[in-house]
Amino acid sequence: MSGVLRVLAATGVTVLVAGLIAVGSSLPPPSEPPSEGLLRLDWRLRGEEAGGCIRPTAEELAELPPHMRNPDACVGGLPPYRLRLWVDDQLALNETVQAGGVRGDRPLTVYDEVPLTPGLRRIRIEFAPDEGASTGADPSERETPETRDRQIRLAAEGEVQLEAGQVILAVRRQDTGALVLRSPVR
Amino acid sequence: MTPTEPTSSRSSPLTRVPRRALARLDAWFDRLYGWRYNPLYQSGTIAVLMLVVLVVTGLYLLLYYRIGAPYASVERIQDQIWAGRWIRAVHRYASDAAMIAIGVHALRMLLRGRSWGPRALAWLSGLGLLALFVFVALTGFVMVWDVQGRLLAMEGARLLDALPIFSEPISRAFSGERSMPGAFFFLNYFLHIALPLGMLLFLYIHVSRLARAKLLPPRRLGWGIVGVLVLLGVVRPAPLPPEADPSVIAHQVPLDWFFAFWVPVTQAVAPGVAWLLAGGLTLALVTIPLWTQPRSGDRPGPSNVEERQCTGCTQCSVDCPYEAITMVTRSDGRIGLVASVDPDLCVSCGICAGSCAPMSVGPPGRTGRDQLAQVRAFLAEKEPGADQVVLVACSRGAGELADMAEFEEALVYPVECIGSLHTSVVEFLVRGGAGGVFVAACPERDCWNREGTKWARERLFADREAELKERVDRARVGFTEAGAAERGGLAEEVRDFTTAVRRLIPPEPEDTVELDLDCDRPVASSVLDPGEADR
Ligand code: HEM
Ligand code: SF4
Ligand code: SF4
Repeated sequence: MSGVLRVLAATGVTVLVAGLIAVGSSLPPPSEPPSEGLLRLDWRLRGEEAGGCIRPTAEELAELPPHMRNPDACVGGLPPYRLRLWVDDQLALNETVQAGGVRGDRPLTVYDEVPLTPGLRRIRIEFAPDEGASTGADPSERETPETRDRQIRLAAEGEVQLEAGQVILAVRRQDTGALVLRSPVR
Repeated sequence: MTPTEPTSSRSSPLTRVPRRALARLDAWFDRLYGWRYNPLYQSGTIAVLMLVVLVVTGLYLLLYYRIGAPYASVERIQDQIWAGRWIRAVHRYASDAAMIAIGVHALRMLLRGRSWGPRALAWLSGLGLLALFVFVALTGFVMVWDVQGRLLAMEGARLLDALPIFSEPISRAFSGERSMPGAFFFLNYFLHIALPLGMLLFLYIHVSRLARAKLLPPRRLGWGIVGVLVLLGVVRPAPLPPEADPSVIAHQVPLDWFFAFWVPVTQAVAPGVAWLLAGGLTLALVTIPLWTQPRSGDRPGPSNVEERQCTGCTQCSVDCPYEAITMVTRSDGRIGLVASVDPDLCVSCGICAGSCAPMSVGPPGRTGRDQLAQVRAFLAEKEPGADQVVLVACSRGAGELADMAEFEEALVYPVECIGSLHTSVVEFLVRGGAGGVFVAACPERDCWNREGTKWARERLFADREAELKERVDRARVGFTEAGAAERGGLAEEVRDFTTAVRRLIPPEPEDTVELDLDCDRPVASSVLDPGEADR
């Protein structure tokens, strides 16, 4: 290979690699534009709101090593909730939500995404104690009527005008805690 | 007789085809850039250089980055036409270039069989470096908080939520229920700055077993690469996609494929499958040192020292590219030190065998003494004439001639690594009747044992211990560097050398070749029976 040709080829390869870097560093994967909108459900219910957590009994405390005996600790058993979502009066979601954490003593969290057909949609959401389901830990003899009374119920209803690719949120208001439908914030 | 196929190529037929392809590519790049500046040979050092470029450009970007307003601050950087815009681009492109360099570097190590035995530490720490680097880069993309940054963060959160780690899904942080908390950007920023320090530690481990680790490429190549990146940054500044927006479904998000290559895969499969794939890939990569090592019978043994002959000159401990030799107190009652090989560090390269004038060290069957026995047998069998050249070629590179008896009329004498060649072999061949000896090594930066080519050249022509004795006519000794696929160029050089040798006055072959095996750095207490070499 002559000197000039060699320099040209070397330059060509360099340009090719530089081009690969330039293109490869910012290239969208091939995809269709979204044809649906999205309803994003996102809220949590703390233990007190869900009926308080179940405290350990004196015998359970006695079984623990002394440094771990905390009478205020939750031993789990937050009651499960039922989440129901209707889109245009059709039941789109109907599921039990258990408390988080290995011992079921963390807040109940809802995080879900439901695709919606664009247009005017009527949305209804209910989030209420699931009477039928068990708590998992279930020391039900310790469930007092007072704790049951403190369980709150969330519900939201409304019409949203949705475009393809648009996201709408179902979240709790930070001041009142009520469930609302609104747009996400940046 | 002489060693034939190197251990690495015997080990895995699966790698033979890609190894050949790599050799072709090497040869091609050698022709374009010359072996000294062939970027393929310099992939490890280029990766280090890119890390340096990332630190330098990153320091500038840090001056302007704001945790409280990430996207707006990057927009501001992008608006600085004279500095920020191209510096940001160089930061981005250098990370991409580093990924290419790391990929080439790791692939080379794998295909050339440099992934097992004592090299396993470098292999594993290399994987650690790679994992850390990818993670650091991902935090960098998140720092911008453009559509790509958000997509990467969300995809990562979605995968983590599939593991039983968090009691609440961390994906909630990105739902758009509230603005992104500053704590998130602070943590991300912290990781982006702190983890590179972890990389330094890994890099230290990575090269800790190497003597004189080469960390940077030759200056011209280094500056050339930096220049190309700057030019690219000026001509095509790194794009700044739209700001992250939780109110729309991300679509047509431009990805940096060098780091976000996994996103389309994880998006297409369930998180559990994604974790299985990732786990499988990690397991495969981590266990490569196990399944690339030759069968136990084929594995070469570590070097041994013959204390009786060792003069304690220290040359082998200096030359060993893997710092496997230390000098310790003698156990034979004589004063002074003796070489001692740590078998856990020794890769059996044989370079110590070539460094030891009294021939007292080397892997089993490959010490200077063994080599003398082999060359004697070779001379007796082939009887090279004064018009004939012996081509001493590294069987791992240099045209891969190990299987051939002759190449361009020259008698082929393969050696496992040119750095293990004792110069006495060359002297023996010349004085034993061959017209000349042409030594073909691998390109210096591609030596399987890192420094074999360098030491061989210095021993033959620059008086490095154990040097080729002055009495050997240098007109009869040639030297070149050639990659595995560079037979064409090598053939031409061998022909030219043979022609030159045939013009010389024919030598008188010596019936009994007496060798002088004294070091130039004798140690007072050393005793060596001069006749010992011949026994
Ligand atoms: C940021 C990433 C990396 C950098 C900066 C890097 C850099 C280097 C450098 C400078 C050397 C020494 C070269 C010499 O002096 O001979 C080296 C050796 C080595 N690297 Fe890497 N490397 C990286 C990643 C990797 C990866 C991902 C692997 C493989 C999985 C790897 C495998 C090796 C091996 C096996 C050696 C030792 C070769 C020998 O002992 O002969 N490296 N690396
Ligand atoms: S005589 Fe040989 S084995 Fe001993 S220190 Fe010198 S080079 Fe090493
Ligand atoms: S063979 Fe010799 S030079 Fe090579 S690693 Fe072992 S001790 Fe070091």
